[in-house]
Amino acid sequence: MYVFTMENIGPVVWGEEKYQPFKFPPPYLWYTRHLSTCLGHKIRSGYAKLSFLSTLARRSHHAKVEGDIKKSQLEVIDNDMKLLELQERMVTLPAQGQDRLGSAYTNSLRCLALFGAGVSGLWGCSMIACSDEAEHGLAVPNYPWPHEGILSSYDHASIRRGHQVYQQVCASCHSMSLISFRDLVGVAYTEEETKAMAAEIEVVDGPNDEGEMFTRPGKLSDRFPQPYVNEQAARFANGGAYPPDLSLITKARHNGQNYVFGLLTGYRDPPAGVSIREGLHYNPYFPGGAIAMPKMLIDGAVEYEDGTPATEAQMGKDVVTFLAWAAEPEMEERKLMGFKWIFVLSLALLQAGYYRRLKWSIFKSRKLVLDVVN
Amino acid sequence: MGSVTRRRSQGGLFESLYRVIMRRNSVYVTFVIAGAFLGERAVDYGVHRLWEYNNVGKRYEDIPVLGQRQSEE
Repeated sequence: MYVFTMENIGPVVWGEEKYQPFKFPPPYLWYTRHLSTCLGHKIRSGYAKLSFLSTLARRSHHAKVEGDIKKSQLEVIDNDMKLLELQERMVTLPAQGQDRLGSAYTNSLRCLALFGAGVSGLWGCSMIACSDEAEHGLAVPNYPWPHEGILSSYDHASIRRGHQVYQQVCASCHSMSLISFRDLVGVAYTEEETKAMAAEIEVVDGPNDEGEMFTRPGKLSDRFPQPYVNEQAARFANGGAYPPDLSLITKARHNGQNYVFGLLTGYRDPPAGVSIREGLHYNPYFPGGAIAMPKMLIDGAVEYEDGTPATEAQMGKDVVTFLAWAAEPEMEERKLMGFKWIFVLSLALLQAGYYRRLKWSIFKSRKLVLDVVN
Repeated sequence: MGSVTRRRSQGGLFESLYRVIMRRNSVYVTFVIAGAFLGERAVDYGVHRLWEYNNVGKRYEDIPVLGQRQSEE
């Protein structure tokens, strides 16, 4: 007949023995018991998968594993002081450890073979997909945008200059129908400046009391003016090609910011043997190579208010910053929020881990004794 | 099982934290709520300072020609 007895390591008098008061172990001892569990095995076999290290690791690991198996036998009771006493009473089981490691080794070898096959297959497929430049356009380099880092804001002076470039160079063909004048307030212009800018355009407004449509000067709440009435008019004026709306263009194109900058500054003569028909222009970054838009950014095309020299690259950088802001005006708030929340939640994760370990420590340190009665 | 007389309650950060905060649930809850309020203010202030340090000269307020368009009209 068998009887279960459970001994909690706590201030409990059990029979005539008095146990030591339980001590919650420090964090560096929290996971030492796990080396003999399945988690420990997974960690070991995963480590063994590194092909050029596996043999070396195995040899050095053999010596370590025997020591760990000894230790894990002790840590049924996870109490530092008992560790010292019980070490003498230890029975070492090296043969058992070897068997376990042997099957783990063949397992890890199979896993390594499968992994290698998968990787080589994937690599082969990707190489085929990436080879067609004419289809995808020339790959654009990654430029070091000032607003690139996790805590980097837009350069607001650049947004202002970029809006100026858009207004004077691009707005004759490209609409930005999702941006209103009021979006610029507090970002690139003061309220008075924006009101003055809006008042320069004429806006058609809804029926008056007599039922007639009328025109009025623009207000802050009006959207940016559209160059063409509809898409057909835009196509007709541009040889059949529709100049896309630029409100979201940096999000609507793959690697949008770098792509737009590369495109605007990438006009060049076609290579020998490539002929572009009349009405189109050669641009290697445009998929297909033949784009309907001519080169618009020419040195000195715009005179900046703050006196910055208006080179082609400067105008390209400013207009792309402006377009990036237009597509993602929430970026600064998003980055701040993300940084704060991830920081605080990481601390909360540490607290939650500690609290869980604290509450579970009673159960993790208990000992079940199976005993024969009579 | 021999009795071990080395019974020294080692301090450590976790031990002292437990003693101060986690002994009583009322203290724990008060600590959480007050800590959330004060902690949010502290984190906001700290991250804002870091943001300003990292983005010198790029703010809206730093635009050199702010307001000049109006004066041209």
